[in-house]
Amino acid sequence: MLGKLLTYILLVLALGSAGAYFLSVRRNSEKLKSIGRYTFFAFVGSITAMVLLLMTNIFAHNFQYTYIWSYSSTTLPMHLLVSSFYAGQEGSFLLWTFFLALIGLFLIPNAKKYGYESWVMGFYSLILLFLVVILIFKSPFEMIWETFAGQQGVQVGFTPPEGRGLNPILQNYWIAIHPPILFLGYAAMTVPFVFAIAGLIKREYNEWINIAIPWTLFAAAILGLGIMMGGFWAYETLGWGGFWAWDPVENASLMPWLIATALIHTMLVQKRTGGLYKTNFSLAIFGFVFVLFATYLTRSGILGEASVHSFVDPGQIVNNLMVFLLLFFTISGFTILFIRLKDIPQAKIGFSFSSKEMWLALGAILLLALTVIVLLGTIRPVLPEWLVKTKASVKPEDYNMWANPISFLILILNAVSIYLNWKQSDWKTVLKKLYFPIIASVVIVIISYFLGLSDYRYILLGFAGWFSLFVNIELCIKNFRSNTKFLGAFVSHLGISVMILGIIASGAYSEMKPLSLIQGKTQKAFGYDITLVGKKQIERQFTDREKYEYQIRIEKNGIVLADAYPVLYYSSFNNFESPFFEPGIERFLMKDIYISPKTFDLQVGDPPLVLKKGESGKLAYDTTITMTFNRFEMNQQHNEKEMVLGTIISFVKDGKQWEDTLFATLNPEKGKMTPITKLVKGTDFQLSLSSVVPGETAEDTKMEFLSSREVFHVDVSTKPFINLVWFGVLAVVLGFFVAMFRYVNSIKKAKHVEIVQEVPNVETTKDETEDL
Amino acid sequence: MKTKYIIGVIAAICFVVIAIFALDSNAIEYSNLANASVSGKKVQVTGSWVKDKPINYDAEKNIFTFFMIDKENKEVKVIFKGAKPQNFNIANYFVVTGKLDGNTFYASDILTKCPSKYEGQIEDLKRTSGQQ
Repeated sequence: MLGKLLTYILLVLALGSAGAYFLSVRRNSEKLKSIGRYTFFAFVGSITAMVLLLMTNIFAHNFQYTYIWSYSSTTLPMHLLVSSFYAGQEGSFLLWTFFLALIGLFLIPNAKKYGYESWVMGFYSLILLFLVVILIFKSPFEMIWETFAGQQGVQVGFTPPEGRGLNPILQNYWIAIHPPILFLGYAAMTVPFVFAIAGLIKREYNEWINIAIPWTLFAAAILGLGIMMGGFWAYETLGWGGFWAWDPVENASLMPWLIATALIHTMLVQKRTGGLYKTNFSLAIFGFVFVLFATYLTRSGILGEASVHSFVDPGQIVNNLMVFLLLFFTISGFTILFIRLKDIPQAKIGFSFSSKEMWLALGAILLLALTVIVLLGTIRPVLPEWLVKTKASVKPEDYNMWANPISFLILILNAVSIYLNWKQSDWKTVLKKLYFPIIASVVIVIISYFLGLSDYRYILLGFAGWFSLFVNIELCIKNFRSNTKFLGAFVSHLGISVMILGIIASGAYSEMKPLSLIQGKTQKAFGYDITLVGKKQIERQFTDREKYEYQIRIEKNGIVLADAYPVLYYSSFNNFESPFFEPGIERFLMKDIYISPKTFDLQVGDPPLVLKKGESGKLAYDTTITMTFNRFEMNQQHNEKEMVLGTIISFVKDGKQWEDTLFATLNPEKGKMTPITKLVKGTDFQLSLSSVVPGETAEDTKMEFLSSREVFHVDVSTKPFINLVWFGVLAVVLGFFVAMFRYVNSIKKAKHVEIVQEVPNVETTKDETEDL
Repeated sequence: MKTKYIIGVIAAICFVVIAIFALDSNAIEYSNLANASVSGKKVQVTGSWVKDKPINYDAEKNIFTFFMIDKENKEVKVIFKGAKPQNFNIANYFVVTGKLDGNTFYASDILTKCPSKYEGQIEDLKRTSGQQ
């Protein structure tokens, strides 16, 4: 009840805040403005209360709430109960709204300082209002008897004793922090949008850029981090063997990031040389619209056929609401831009081909071209028939076909543009600086050709990667002490080139071999000896899962390098019907060895041995072993429900003899026998007491012994230099943060100075290498 | 200024058109088994597993075989170069990509489509309430 009440309070507060802020402009009233502000604070307070309410209910296992029943259970540990919060649509909408509200707290003083508060916060509250409307229809506080109204046994007040639990593939550390970070990034992308709209309305076409740059950098950094964590999770737990599959869900989050990154570059051009006014307004609008589009794509069922992800149709109302939201902000954003089109000053700059601004603009165009490709590929399955010849999905190779040359051009542009001046440069001096990086990269690429890099696309991309890397390393070193304020850009660009090199290395040099592992039997792959040592059940304290960890030994020339631990498990989530897998990854500095489980078989030895007491027979998998059934083991505990059957057996092989005991539990009521399998010493197979064949007398009773062998099918692959990918992305993110702090500091320093457009300058060489 | 915009818009449109065509030419058509046997092209076919026919995984050759039936009730043997896909047993249908040759479908990719576990289902409610 309280939860739903809070939603309506939020609705009123968002409406009040937006209304008061907009009215404050019309009436030019400071009082209305502060009413808007305090209403917004009340909104933040209420949504915080709502978040805490849901959280405490999750911790208290109040399964009368449909949402909590759907995504949690009493067996989940603490940190995973936190991820139950946003495991479903209702909770993730709440989280998104919550982050937006929190960012608003920082946005108010920032916008106030520059006289943007009324318009910025007015639109901001309006966006919150829409999200609250979605929360009304998609509430995490819906009761189970409301969801299952009319179903037998689900009357008002009904509380299921247990929840359905969290999807086991989501029970991972990385997936626990990945969605909140992504949502924080999505929320941050709203800020450049509201500043752009406010700038258009106020007819201030330059000022908004200065305030919005740090926010855009923040959004790009956080989004980038979130996307990377998603990729890392896919690599770590899904066992795809890769970190990026161009899946619609991944693409949805990549598009806003690409737009944000393009926007950062075009904003810089406007700040330094003027021009690109309309581009910046459009990109700020698109950035936000694509966040809405991403949530629409991943929450509506429209791409259900085309993705490995499972989508849930949120229902007609919410679907329509999301479409409305998308159209509303696209249309209103561009309408305002269109109204101001004539008023926006014309660019005074010529965009000479030897100017830095030209190359930055080209870089932005390439980023947007990639966005278009990703967009077309993602919506390909739902494009109308008259436009595309068949209904079909796009394969990763098709994306790669485009991403490869675009990345090549971006890297080249980056390396060259760093040495270009604003307005105009002298090609001779630029080329002189580029000699060394070009020669060095050509040499490295030739070496990698002889090391086996034969695909010309990778060779070209590799060249561009090394080229850009050398340029950026040089500038990082040069600027590290003297000129830290431009470090962010170099670090980010260095990260991009490292990441691309990592993608090439881990892709082009990756080798894969399927192996069928049998306990104790050593097999070869890529010069390593790979042996399944054994398995053990882990996480036994949980009753909702049956999880086995396989110990796989990796040796080279008789030296044990490491043990990898892939995991196979069954979960109550799908009624233990089919296993889930997690890869075993052994990390070395230069490469990862990636063991991805595929399937597992139980081979049964034919024929089973059926023996009377005192009889002998040969084992199915190893006929040199003779087994004798000696006698029954009598000292067993019995209870009413179960009986334990024990047999003492002995083996003879090559004159050696040993004894063992095999057990099985028998449920007389059901007539069901559950054998306990045991490994036969010195072999790779197991033996179990599988059934009883009754005879006329007790002495005639025969026992059936079954040999079985577990075969664990895996793909073993090497991922050379995969660490470069993670390192590269982290450097990109770090660079964004460095640039952001640099901006925030420079703005603080210029506190009392009116923000005016920086005059385009042609100054010292140091300034010429300036970027973000 | 004007001409620059026009050039830009034309370039953008050309790019989009080329991209659509390129993605289209590589796209693999959704089809059914009857059409696939006529065209002989690489297609995507949706079908379900014939449970009473044998399935087999040959670990040595890394080949997985099973029998599939499509919506028009045409049945074929599917030979897939790879291991048995995860969730194969609980999938309600598959999307297989490959070529049909006679009565054998050579699949290069199998996408398993599982019943969604995310929606509130009354069966699950019964299960967690101990009624089942």
